[in-house]
Amino acid sequence: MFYSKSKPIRLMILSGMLVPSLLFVAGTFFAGIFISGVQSLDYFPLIGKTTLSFRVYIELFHSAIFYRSLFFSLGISLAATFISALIAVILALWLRRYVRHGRWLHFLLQFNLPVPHVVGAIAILLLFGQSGLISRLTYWAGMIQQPSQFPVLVTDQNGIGIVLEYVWKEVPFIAVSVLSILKSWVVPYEKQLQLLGANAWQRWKLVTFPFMLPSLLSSSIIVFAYTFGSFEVPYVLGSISKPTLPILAYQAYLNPNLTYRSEAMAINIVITIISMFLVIFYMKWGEGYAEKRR
Amino acid sequence: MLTRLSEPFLQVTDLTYQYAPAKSFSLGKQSFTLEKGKLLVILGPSGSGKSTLLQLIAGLLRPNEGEIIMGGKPIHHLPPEKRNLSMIFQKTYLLPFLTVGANVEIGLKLKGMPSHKRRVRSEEILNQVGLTGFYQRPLSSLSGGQEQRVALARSLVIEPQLLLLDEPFSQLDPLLRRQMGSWISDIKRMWEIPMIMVTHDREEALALGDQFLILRDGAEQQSGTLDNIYYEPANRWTADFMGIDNVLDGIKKGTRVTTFLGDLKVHPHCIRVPDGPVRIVLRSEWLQLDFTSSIKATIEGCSFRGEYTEVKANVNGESVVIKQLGLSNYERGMETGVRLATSNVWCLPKEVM
Repeated sequence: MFYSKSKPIRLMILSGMLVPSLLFVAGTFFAGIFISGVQSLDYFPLIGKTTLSFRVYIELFHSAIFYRSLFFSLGISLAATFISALIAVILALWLRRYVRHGRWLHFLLQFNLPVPHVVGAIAILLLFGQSGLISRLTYWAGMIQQPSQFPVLVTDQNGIGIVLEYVWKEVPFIAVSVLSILKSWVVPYEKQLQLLGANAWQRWKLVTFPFMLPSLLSSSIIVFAYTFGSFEVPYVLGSISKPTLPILAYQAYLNPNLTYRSEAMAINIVITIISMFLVIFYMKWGEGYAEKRR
Repeated sequence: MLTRLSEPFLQVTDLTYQYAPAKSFSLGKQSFTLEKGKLLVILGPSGSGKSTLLQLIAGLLRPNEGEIIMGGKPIHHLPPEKRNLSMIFQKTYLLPFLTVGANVEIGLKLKGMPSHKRRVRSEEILNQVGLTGFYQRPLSSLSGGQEQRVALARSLVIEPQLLLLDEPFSQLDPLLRRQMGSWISDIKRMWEIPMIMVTHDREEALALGDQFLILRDGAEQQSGTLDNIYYEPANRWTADFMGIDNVLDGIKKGTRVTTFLGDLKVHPHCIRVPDGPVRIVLRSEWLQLDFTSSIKATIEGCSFRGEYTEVKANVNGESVVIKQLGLSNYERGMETGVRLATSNVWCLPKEVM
C-alpha cells in the first residue's frame, strides 16, 4: 500500500507520514515564537494595542536593568561552562587510566545525569544555604559562631549557588562525551607520537587536546545554551534583587499590569535569538568541526 | 660505553612479559640479535605474542625480565620517546588536522628543529618515497598507499636507529602491498636501518626478511635465516605453518631414509636424528609429475591457484601434493609418474611431531 518503486514517491509518502508529528512539534514551537514575536512588537488586542511597533525593544535596549540581567546571565553561563569544562577534562584524563574499573566509574560519573536540575538546585540550597547542612556542620565544629557567619553562597548577588548547581550537573555531561574519545581512538595516536619522541606535555598539546576539542566544544556549547536559557535553577538559587534574563522575563510576565507582557515577550525573543546563534555555533564549531576531523 | 665491533647492533636477551592475570597470556623468554641493514621478521598466527614482543622492544610495554641493548647501550628501562626508534602500525595514525608536510616533520618539530630546516628535510624524504610536491596537500587527498608512504616518511625523517613495523601493509590491496614491500627493501638497502617486522603473511615475510623468528602461543618455535625456515623446519607445526604440504612416514638408517617414494638421501643436518621411524618433510614444489619416472602415481584431483596448479596424486596408496607452475589440467584417475627434484630430504624425529 505504501510501497512505490519510484524514490521521489517513496520520499513523498514518508514525508506525508511524518506530517502529523511534525505539525505538533514544529507547529507549537513556531506558534509560540510567533505569538511572542507579535506581542513583543506591542501587539496586544486584549488591552487595545493593535499596531506593531519597536517601542518595547527600544525601551529594553535603553534599560539598565535589562543589561544588568543580560550580562549577569551571560557571566553565570560563561563561568559555569568554563569551570564545568575544566573539571570535566581533568576528571576524564584521570578516569581514563582506570579502564579496568570502567563500569563502576562510569556509573559513579553518570549517576546524576537523570536527576532534574530543580532537584539539584534544592540540594544545593539545603547544603550550601546559611542554615544548610554544611553551615550547621561548621557551626558544630566550632568554625563559625552563628549561621550568619557562613558565607552567602545561595540566593547571593554573584550567582555562586547557581554556578555550583550547573557545575555539579554539567561536569559529568561534558566528562562522559570527552572520556569516550580519550578512552578509545586517541590512544594509538598518542603512542605513535610518543614513538616519534613526544613527551607527555607534547602528546597532550599535539594529539590529546586537538582530538578531544570537538566533543569538548560541542558539549560546552550545549551547556552554555542550556544554562543561559534555564529558568528553574536561578528561580530557586538566585537573588530576587538581581535576576537573570529568564527570571526578568518571568517577573514581567507575572506583573498584574498587562502592559509589561510585551516586555516579557521581547526578553524571550532576545533569549531565543541568542540561543539560535549558539545553535549556529554548535553546527559550525561543534558538529561541523568534529566531522572535519574525522 | 663504547660499542665493540664484534657486538651485534641490537641484542635482545631473555625478554619475558606476563599480561594481567585476567588475560593469562605470557610471552616466554625471547632472545635474538640483529645487525644494521638487516630485517628480522617475527612470524606467527594471531595471539602468538609477536606484537607483544614488538611493543616490548618499542617500550610501549615494560618487560618482566630480560634486557635490550641497542648500539651498545641498554634501552629496556627507557620510555619509548627516549629509545630513538620508530614504529609503523597497521593504521597510519597520521594527524587528520595537519597537512602531509606537517605530519612528516612532526618528529623533527618535537626535537626542536627550526621550521625552514624541517621543511627542507621533509620535502627530501617525501621525494624519496615518491611523493614529490605533496608537502602542502591535505591528508584527505591521499590514497591508502600514499598514506602509508607518508607514515614511512614520518618515521624515517627522524633517522631512527631501529624501525619497527607492526603488520604495516595488512590493510592494503595485494598490488600496493608488493609496492610497499619493495619500498621497504630499497630503504633497508640505502639507509642501512635495522628493521623488525611483525606479520602473519608468509609470502610477505619470505620476500622481505633476512632473519626470522617464528612464535606460537608466546613461545619460539624456530629462528634463523630464510634457508633455515624454508628448508629445515624445526617441528611439524612449523612445517605446517611454513606451508609444507607433504609430511611422510619413513624409516631412517644412517644417511638414508626409506619412504613410499623410495630410498632417499637425508639432509646433512639431519644425520643426528636417531635411526628408526621418522617423518620427512617435502615441499610440494620439490615433487614433479614425470611420465617417465619409475615412481608411479594416479591423479586424485587438481585446482588452479592463480599462479600454480595444485595437483593431488596417489603414490603407493599415500596422498601427495604437487605444485605445477602455471595452469595445468589433469584428469582424475590419470596414470602418471612422480619425480623428486631435490637431492636430499629434511627429516624430523617422530617425537617432535
